Amino acid sequence: MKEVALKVNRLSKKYGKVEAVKDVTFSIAPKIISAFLGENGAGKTTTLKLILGFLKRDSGEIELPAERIGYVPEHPLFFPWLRGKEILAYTLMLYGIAEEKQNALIQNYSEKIGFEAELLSRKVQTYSLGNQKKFSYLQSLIISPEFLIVDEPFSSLDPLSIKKVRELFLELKDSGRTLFLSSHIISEIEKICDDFIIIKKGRIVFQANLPRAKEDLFLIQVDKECVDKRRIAALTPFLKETDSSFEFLLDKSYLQPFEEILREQERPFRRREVNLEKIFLFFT
Amino acid sequence: MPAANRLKVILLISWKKLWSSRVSFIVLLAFVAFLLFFWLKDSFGASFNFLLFFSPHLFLFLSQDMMKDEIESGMLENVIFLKCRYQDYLLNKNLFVGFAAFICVSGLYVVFSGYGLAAHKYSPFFLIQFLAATIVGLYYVYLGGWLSLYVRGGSNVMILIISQALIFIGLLFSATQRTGFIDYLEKGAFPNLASQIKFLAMIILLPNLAVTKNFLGYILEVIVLLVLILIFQKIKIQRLEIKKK
Repeated sequence: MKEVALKVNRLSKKYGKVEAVKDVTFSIAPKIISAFLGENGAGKTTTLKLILGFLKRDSGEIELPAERIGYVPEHPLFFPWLRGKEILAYTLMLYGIAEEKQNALIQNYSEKIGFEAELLSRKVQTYSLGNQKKFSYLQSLIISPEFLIVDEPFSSLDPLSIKKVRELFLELKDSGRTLFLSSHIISEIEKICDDFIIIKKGRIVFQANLPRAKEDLFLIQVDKECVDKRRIAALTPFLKETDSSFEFLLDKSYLQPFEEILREQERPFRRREVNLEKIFLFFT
Repeated sequence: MPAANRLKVILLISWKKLWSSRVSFIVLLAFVAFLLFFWLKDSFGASFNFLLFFSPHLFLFLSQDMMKDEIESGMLENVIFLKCRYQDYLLNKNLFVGFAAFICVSGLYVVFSGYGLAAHKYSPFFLIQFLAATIVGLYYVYLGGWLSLYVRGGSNVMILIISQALIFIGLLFSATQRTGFIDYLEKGAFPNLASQIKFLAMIILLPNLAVTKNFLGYILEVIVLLVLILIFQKIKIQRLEIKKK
């Protein structure tokens, strides 16, 4: 069994003088759903394209042992001279999938993502944006990918399709596939992801397992005058400072030492449980 | 993933693109119409010579809109092309476009040769010229492909056609001089190094000259140029990134 489904080590990429991705390091365990989160322009798509080989890295290493990799871009585009069925046939041919299995695969996944199979006889460029996105899913799914990368999985999709895609992700995970979803729609991602990675300005700022993070982390806000910054910094590296307060993520194992610090001061503080959105907003 | 499957997919995508291109059809039909016109209005020989001299241009026209639009549109950001497989596609599509043009030109050549043999007007030298024309055609495809890495749509073809038109204009001016370059061309001999270099440079933009009897030896230059363009194109494509614009 493979230990990691994807390993990225000190990956960097510059566009001219702009560092789009800087020293990005992370790994993804197999058979789970990992979310890659960041604001617009944080470096998510660049990182994905480096992993997929569409862009050349300036430095760093990428280890992606899967043979069958699916990829759904944010705004998929297809050759305007090809019909849907031709693109699917070429994709299946490329991966050597037997002809007798092809129709069943197309039928099965079309139903799962709510794509009307009648559209396949038309040129993909004539589809609506939503159907182009669904077609892109279909193209990736029919090759039975071991590793599926999706950039903005819910963009261009209606609520019903979003629900279907969400269910499909969970089904794929249950069948042993690894999914890597890049998004900034946190509410949808939170419902399905196991691990998450947050990227900001081309750098990884945080990565964790979501259920564990929810259980172990607290978001704390305290007036600046209550406590010395250095004492908090000794407890957590995830510290933010505003004009009047400190905000930080604290592991529950450090909660007691922190409370003791504040008890000396006899000052109140605000402790909140975290969810993915709160963690994301803290870092972005 | 079998390499044969990869090539098959590239072939099918390239073939479908050519098949759906109206411009290619119009060019092919116009070419056949010209051949018929020369045959009917002049002679079989003139028409055959037209075929041999201008058939490389069929290769050239098919090489329009080869790369840049596809690269910058985002069409290559697809499951089919990930893990740098787009490089295979871009490199090999030249060959398939060349092959498609070769099929068209060969068909015409077979028709002309068949008639020529039946009418005792065929010379084996035509076959040598046909092979030379195929090499020149391939050179055009690779040159067009290389240019299309830098310019959009059919601009690659336009650049070459305009350059050739300028060469003709230059030759017309040369004809007004007492010992013009056009005289050397007519004689098939160049008396000095300057005119020799001029001709070598001319072959770069008008390689069809290497199909004519006088200059058939210059096909070697075309072969060298073809190899150089292949190398340049490969280097460029290996460094290429798929960026939407």
